[in-house]
Amino acid sequence: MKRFRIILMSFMIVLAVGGAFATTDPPCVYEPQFYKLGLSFQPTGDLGVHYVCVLCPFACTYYRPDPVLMPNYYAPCREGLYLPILI
Amino acid sequence: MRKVVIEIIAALLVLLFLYASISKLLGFSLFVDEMNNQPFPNWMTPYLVVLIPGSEILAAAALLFDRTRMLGLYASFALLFVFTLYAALVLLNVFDYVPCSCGGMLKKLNWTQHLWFTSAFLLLSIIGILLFRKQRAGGTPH
Repeated sequence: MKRFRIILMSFMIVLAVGGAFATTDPPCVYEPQFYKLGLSFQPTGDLGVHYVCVLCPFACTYYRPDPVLMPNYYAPCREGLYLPILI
Repeated sequence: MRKVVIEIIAALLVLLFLYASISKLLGFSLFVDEMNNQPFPNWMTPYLVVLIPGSEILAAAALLFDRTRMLGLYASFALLFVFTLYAALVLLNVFDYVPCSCGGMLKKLNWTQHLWFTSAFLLLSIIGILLFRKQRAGGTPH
């Protein structure tokens, strides 16, 4: 019984740690975020402070994967509807 | 048989809480952002971003050992009850808006699926508590 517990718990710990690393969020969230305003893209502020993303799915914010070579290309990043926080 | 079931329940709860806490710690700044995105005051964020993963890790650690397993099961129940209640309140539109759910693979779930998921683990924790109490009352050695 003790051996079963050790093996089972060890397996679960490895699975948990491995799974956490494997499902880490994509790096786009650490890049500057933009929201779509008509045909243009405007910089957002801080999530939860200046805006929130609600009602997934949809693309809430966008980022520029390659701002040097493709400065006008914006890819979806955060999910939801962009909703500015009006103070 | 009862002992095996308790071990499996404890193992599943360890998996859940360790995965959830490590996911949050690996993407900590994102976790802070997502806490700010939730429909409660931002002043709570600094406390929640420490309290939530911290209590998940403590619950997982308590579940690993016989002496602290009962405490771990009760802690699991408390955490899962709070998460389930929150998901239910979001679905009932109690808050001003419905945020996007957060947390590793659970981010792929919508709020209804999230509610079912946490409810299932809540039920597991209750079964674990009941079986463990029966085992203790029966005087079965751990």
